[in-house]
Order: sequence, then C-alpha cells, then structure tokens
Amino acid sequence: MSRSRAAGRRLFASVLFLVLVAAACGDSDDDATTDTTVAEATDSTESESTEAPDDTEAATDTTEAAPETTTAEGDDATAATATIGIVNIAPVAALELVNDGFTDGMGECAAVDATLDYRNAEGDGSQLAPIVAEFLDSDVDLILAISTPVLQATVAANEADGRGTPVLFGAVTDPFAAGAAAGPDDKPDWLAGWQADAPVVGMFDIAAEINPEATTIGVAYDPSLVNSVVALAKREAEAEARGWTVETATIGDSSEVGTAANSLATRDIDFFFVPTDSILVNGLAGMAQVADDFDIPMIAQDSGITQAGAAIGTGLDYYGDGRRNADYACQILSGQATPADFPIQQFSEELVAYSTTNAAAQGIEIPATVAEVGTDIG
Amino acid sequence: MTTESPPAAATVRPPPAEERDGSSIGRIVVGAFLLLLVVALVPTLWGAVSSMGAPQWTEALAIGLIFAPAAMGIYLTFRVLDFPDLTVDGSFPAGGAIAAVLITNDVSAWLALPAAMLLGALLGVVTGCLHIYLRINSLLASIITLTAAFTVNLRIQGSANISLLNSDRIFTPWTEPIRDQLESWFGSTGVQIHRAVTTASMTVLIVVAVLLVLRWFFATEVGLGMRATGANREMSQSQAIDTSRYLIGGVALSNSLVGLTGALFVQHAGFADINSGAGLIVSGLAAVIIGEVLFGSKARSMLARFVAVALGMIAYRAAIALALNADLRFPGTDGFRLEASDIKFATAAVVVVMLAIPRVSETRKERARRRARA
Repeated sequence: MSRSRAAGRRLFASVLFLVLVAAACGDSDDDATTDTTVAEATDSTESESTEAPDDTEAATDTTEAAPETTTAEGDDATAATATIGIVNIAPVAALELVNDGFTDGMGECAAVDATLDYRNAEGDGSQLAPIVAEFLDSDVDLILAISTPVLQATVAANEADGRGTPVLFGAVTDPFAAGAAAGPDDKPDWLAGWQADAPVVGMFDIAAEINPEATTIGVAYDPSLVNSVVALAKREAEAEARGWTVETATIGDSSEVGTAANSLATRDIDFFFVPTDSILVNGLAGMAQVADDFDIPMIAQDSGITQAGAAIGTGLDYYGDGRRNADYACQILSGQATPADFPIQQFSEELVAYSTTNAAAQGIEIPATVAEVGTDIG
Repeated sequence: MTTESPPAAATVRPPPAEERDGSSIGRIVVGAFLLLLVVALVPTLWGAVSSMGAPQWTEALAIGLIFAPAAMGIYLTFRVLDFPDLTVDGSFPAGGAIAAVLITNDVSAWLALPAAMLLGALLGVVTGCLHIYLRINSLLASIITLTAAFTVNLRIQGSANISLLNSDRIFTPWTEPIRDQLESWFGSTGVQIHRAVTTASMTVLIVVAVLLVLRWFFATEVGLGMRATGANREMSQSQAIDTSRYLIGGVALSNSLVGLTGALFVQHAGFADINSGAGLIVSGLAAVIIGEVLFGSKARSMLARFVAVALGMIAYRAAIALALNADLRFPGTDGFRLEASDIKFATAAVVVVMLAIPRVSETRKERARRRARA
C-alpha cells in the first residue's frame, strides 16, 4: 500500500519534472518574441539585463526562434562560402531588426554564400562569453555583434583569441565609450561597424516646426530604467541649448501613466516627448487619452510607438543598420576589403512614422517635412 | 551572535527612571524637528495644492473611486478576517485581463465587471484552499496564487498589453454627451475633465451598489459568521461556525472586489497591462489606515467602516496627485527633490507608522500600569 503510494508519488514527481523541463525549453523558443522596448537596448548594459528578463511578453510580430540557421543562396557558382556567427543580447524588436536587415543583405550578396548562425542570449549577459567562445572555436569567418554588451564580450574574446576574426557591430550607441575603439580610425584591424546614436534633435525640430512658440516639453519616465534616465539627460541638455524647459513626472508602474500625464498636462507643456521606456510605452494609452483631452501632441523616440498612441515617432533605422553591416560583411568575406578599410561612422537614417488619427485627436496636422519621409500608419 | 544574546536580552528590561526622563527630552527634540519640518514644508505643500488644477483633482477622485472596491476588499481580509492576503496583486490584473478580452472581442463592457469579479473570487478561493486544506501559511499561500496568476493572466490576455482605446467601454456612451455639456459650461477645462467626470459619476454608482450589498451581506447569518471567524477563530469553531468555509468565502469576496477594480481601471485607463498592480496591497492598506484615521476609527456599523475605507482611498489618491505636483525642496539642500517615485517609500512609511501607533500606545499603557503597581 505505502510502497505503491510512494511509487505513485515518484512517478508524479518525475512527470512534473518533465513538464517543467518541457516548459523551460518551450520558453526559450517563445521568448524570442518580445515587447516593443526598442532602442533602449542600445543604450547601456544595465538597461538590457534589467529589461529583457521581465519582458516575457509576446508583443511584436517578430517570430524569430533562436538558435536559427539560414543559408543565404548566392547565384554565382564561384561564390565564396563562409560561416557568420550573429550574437544578440535580447529578443528586443530593434535588435531583431538588425538581424533581419543583415540576413536580407547577405541574401543579396552574390559573392558570398554565407551560412548564418544566429544566437540570442535571451537577456542573460552571462551567456555572451560562452556563445562567442563557441563561435571562435568553430572557426566562424565573421561575427556580427548586436548591441553594446555583445560588442564588449566579442571584442574581449577576440583580443584574447588573437586570430583576428573580423567583427562587425550593430545597434551600438557609443562604441568608444564601450571601450571597443578609441576613435573612428583608432580601432583594432578586425573591427568595423556603425555607430547608432539616436539623434535627440529630430524630436525637437519636429516640435518646433509644429509649434514655433513651443518652449516646454513634458517627459514621463520610469527612473529605474537606465536608458530612460540617459535619454532624459540628453533631452534636458538639448532643451537647455534651445532655451526650452523640460517638465518631468516619474512613474513606477504602467497604471500610473495616466496620473503622471495629467500632472504634466496641467504644467502648461506644449508637447509630450515619449522615450523608449518600456513601462511608459505599456501604459501609453493612458497618456494618449490625456493628450487627446488637452490637445497636447505626443512625439515619440521610436517609429513603433505611433502604434501605441503617439502622433509622430522618429527613431533610428535599425533594419538599415543591419543591411549596411551586411554590405561590409559581403566585401570582407569576398576579399575585396578588410575591416581596417572601414572607419567607424555614425549613421543617422531615421525611420519616421506618423498617425493622422492620433495627430488629429491631439490637435495638430502632420507637417509636410514629416509626411514626406514618414509612413502613415493611419 | 548566539553568545552575545544574553546581554542583549538583559537590555530589554524596563529602563530605569533617569532613562525615561531622557527619552521624554528625546521626544521633545523629535517633536520640535517634525514641527520645523512641517513649517518648512507648508509653503511648498501650499504651492502644490494651489497648482493642482481641476483635471488633477477630478482624476484623483475618479481613480480613488475606482480603487475604492479594492480598498474595501483589502479591509475585509486585513481587518475583518485578520488574514493578510497578497492575492490582490494578482487579482487586480486578472480582473483587467478578462475585462480587456471581453471588451476587445465585443462581448460586453458591462459583462466584464461580473466576469472580473468571478475570476478574482476564483483566485481568492485558491488562496483560501491552499491555506485551509494544505495548511500553507496565509502569506505564502497568497504569494503562490499571485505567482500562478501571472501566467493565467498572460494566457487570458494573449499578450502583455491590450489597448482598449478604440473599443466600447462602459463609459463610452456617456463620454460624448458629458464632454459637450462640460464644454458648454467650462470651455476647454470641461474637455480636460470630462473623462474623469464620466468615470467618477458612473463609478460612484457602482461603489454605492457595492456598499449596499456589503451592508446587507454583513447583516446576514453568513456575514456575521464571517465576522466572527475573523474576530476569534477558536471561539467561532466552538459555536459550530464552519470557519474554513467562511474564511475561503471571505477571501473570495475580497478578491472579487479587487477584480472589479481591475475591470473598472482598464476601462478608464484604456489599456490592460499584465504588469500593473504591483504594490496594490500596500496602497490598499494605506487607504484602509487613512480611512480609519480620518473618517472614523470608532465607527461601529460595517457600512460606516467600508465608507471610511472608500474615502481613505480617495484621500490617498489625492495625496499622490499632490505629491506629483509638489516641488518639495528641503531647506538647505540643493539637489534633493521629492519625486513621484518616492511615493512608494512614503506609503510604506505611513503604513508602518500607523501600524506602530497602537502598539506604541499599548506599550506605554503597559509601562504605566507596571509603574502604578510598583
């Protein structure tokens, strides 16, 4: 009696264990789809490691499963074959876009028949060193590092390795501050890439064009997110240079966004500036209602935020970042160039999106300059 | 550590007379400091109050009314049942989740309210059963339910965030007429407050209905049994009251009220977020305590107590709105400024102080009694 019960219990425990294991495995596949906390991952190490794990939500339509292997077919029969290791820190939309752009770019590269090996650390920074080490061990021909912490891990490992495997990087805000390079030309011979420093000026220019008399902007942000604090500091510096003032309200929870927006609105602000703050973006509908009632337009730091209620969103084109890196990779792997030929440059192509519906609700018309370059999401 | 405990225990003995005098001097010093602080803060506080516009007051009122059922639910578990229950942090987003799904699928915004209450009650039943039948400590039981609720909520919602901006909510049919009316009365201010006014005026009806139901319920035999269960479980058992069932029922009732708040909140805010609701238990406790202190700690009838708690929640929300507006720069400091995020610390501190006051006065009475005996 008691023995059979014990056996039953053991069976139950093992079934439970298997279910847990299965759930854990399933998780690592699902997790690649994450929320719309876009450019923040480029800003600092902390922002990623704090952001990614608690964003276990499936909010975007990127359905990327890690690890994944894609073969880009070259038409040319004489194409050189190469293996490229791609490392991403977290399943964040902007970072996935770099990979998408790179994959598409390599597909069009006729000179190289590349096998892409994509790995996502799922927000766990301690996974980076093992992934890079594995790539170096398996003699990949090139590594694409997506985001700052990945770049740092890759540079460290590659320096120690000493073979000089070419390394490209994408979605890195400041490769110099990250210690990967001392200057645009003063860098390791095997390193190349583009600096993705999101311009703050764009939002101010758009605001000034919509309302030339504007002097005050309101920013709601979660002070526990490093990227939001950094973005706010940049914004305050730019505002000071222009003689504008920045009103702030902090939030700790998406349910506080409405109250915070209300508080900002009563301080006579001319615009809401929406940083890529995941807490804020999750509760942005609360701000959108206030913007509607007070006729205060919302300008966002990323084009994707227009879906969540902003009138205009302007952010870096991360897909283009991936394509440019693919162009580098194509030239390097086909032997036409070496990474040393490419100094680190800043790219400033922005992806602009606007919503005529939101703009009308917030009492503005989309300026012609925005309408020219942006896409209307309706 | 263990070797040091005997001398430490010795100091617990009642302090000698001189020390007591010293402590009264200390009390004067602390009192004077607090007085100074208050005097220093009055101008900034006044500045905050006067800078609060009508939109913020109405918004605070609306949010306070929305959270009033949750505060009543927390009062029910915390004070009536004497069962500290953290499940509320999970039943709030649960109510929001089911409401959001029903609304976005065009079922019915009104049906979302009972559905949210049902789901909240279900979570309460789980916590109660874990506690009663598996003998899991009440806090642990509620944390377990809360953890599991996250997954349930995510499954219900399908995604972490649902926008309801373009869906019909219970407030939607009234928003337009109320806006037009308010605009004709107050101009642009009317437009700015119309959403909060709509929410407040409809939610106050729901809150009154909830209050009436609670008043009726706590006069029935079941309600009285529930109160007895909380007051003295052993005694109730000896009176042939099925305390387990009443405890589970009470926790379920409490969480159904929190679920109702969740459903109302998403309809007002225009979105459902899986991660909202963290810390609801503490703000609810703060509302309970503020309500007791400000609006009747001696209230006898259950109705008066629940009303006090509801008013406490409105006062708490007004205080938060005030803090968002306050530019509290302490004299002599340059950089230190109170931020809205400091609310969490302030709330926790208020709760601790208020919970400590009865204990401190008890200790003092005890000491006085001992002195009288000596």
